[in-house]
Amino acid sequence: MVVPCSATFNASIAIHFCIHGPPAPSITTTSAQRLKTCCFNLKFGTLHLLTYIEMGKVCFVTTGATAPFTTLIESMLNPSSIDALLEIGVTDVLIQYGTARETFDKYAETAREKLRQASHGPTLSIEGMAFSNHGLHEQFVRVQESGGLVVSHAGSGTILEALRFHISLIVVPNKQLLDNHQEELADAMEKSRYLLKGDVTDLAPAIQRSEGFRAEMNQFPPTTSGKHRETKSFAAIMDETLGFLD
Amino acid sequence: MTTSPPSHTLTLSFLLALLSTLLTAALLRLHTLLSSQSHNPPKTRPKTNQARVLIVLGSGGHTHEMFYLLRGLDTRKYATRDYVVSSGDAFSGVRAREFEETLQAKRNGEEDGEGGGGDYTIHSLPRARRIHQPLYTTPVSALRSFVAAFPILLSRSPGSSAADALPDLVLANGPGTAVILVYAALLLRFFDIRRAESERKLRIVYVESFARVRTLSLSARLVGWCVDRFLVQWEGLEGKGGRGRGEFCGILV
Repeated sequence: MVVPCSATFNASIAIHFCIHGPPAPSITTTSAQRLKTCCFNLKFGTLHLLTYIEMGKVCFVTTGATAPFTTLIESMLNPSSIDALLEIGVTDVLIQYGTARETFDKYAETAREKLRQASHGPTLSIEGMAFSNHGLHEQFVRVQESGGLVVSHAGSGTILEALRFHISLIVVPNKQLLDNHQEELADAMEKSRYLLKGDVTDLAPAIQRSEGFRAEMNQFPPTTSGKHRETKSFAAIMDETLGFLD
Repeated sequence: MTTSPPSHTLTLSFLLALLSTLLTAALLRLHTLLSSQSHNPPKTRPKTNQARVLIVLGSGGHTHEMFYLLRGLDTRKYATRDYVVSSGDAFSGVRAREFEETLQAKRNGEEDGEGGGGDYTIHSLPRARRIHQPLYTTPVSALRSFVAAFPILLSRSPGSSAADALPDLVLANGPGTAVILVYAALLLRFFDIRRAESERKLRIVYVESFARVRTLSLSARLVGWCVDRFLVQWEGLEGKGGRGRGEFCGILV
């Protein structure tokens, strides 16, 4: 998957370098070499520049901070899910395991071993992270830029945040939680074509469906103004209640 | 010979009569209060008549949803904001300050000179019920929280021209603390304290969580009957809640 915005960014650095001579001392040798390659490619007007900074397709998995959803980690790393990920061209899996580090380490090692054995095909990197102090913004941006997908527990906070990046989202309700409404919410959201609902016992079908879902999903949040207005905005409801007119 | 007050004034039947009179009066008053919500549309309010809004931040997911709801807030109309957070909920306070900073940045960006009101206050209210608090002590802590709600609702607004003006709007989306504030606001209107009811102050809007698709939360069931607007975000909840008032407007967060 090609990333147009970072391509332009790198290209502009490259052009800058061409005009102004060698890089500043702060730039490391490797990045200087990268810039040289970019320059070279630009000179010949080839498409190599784009392929050079090609970025892998990222799948980000988040399991919830408070009560880690270990079966989701396990299910995500089983052979059928891994195969489905390879099938849709994912190159990087990043799993936020929260406090369930042991579960992650165990299943990630098994999955990596399997991938090594079948090394003839495309490969997949599996990484883990515990928490992020700055929210998950950075991870969502990575997914967005690489045209990847997010697999998440069905907590409403993560759903509301992830959907604002307009990315393919698979939510997986945790059936072990009693008296919680994750299942209902996931069903309703899937029906409205905002996201896909995944089954923790078999994630492969949802992963396969996620390919191409981004193109057909509905915009979230729904449009509240203009010609294609779908709902009232909360600001409009407040105004209405107090009698403010536009 | 002088007579002492007739002894029958203190009989049980007299007390019962007094009690039932008071009860009837209270019910009538409540009826007037609640029916005025559905029958009287708000008077048109010019933009220059700036409003004060009190926002209850419930904690965690409730706080998150509240700020999604408030993303289109116009500070030219809602010039004064009061936030209520539960004691010990540092997260909500931080979020409120961050939100105010974005509002400030937006105002600076516009620079049309009429931005005005950057006034906000963060109030702290004792929790109605702590997590894992035994159920039998809940009434005590809830009462303490209820009593503490009045100074907040009656607090003076800084910088506003009418410093003793009550909030025009109360926004709540659960859980416990929000219920307490809604009831306290209703009580002020019941007794028309500081002309709360006659000046149409303290209008209450309750928004049910986006995560509720088919059944209402406990807080929603507790306040649904008495709030001015009871908003639900999924069609399946339309017409649910006290007096069948669940109003469906689509997803608002």
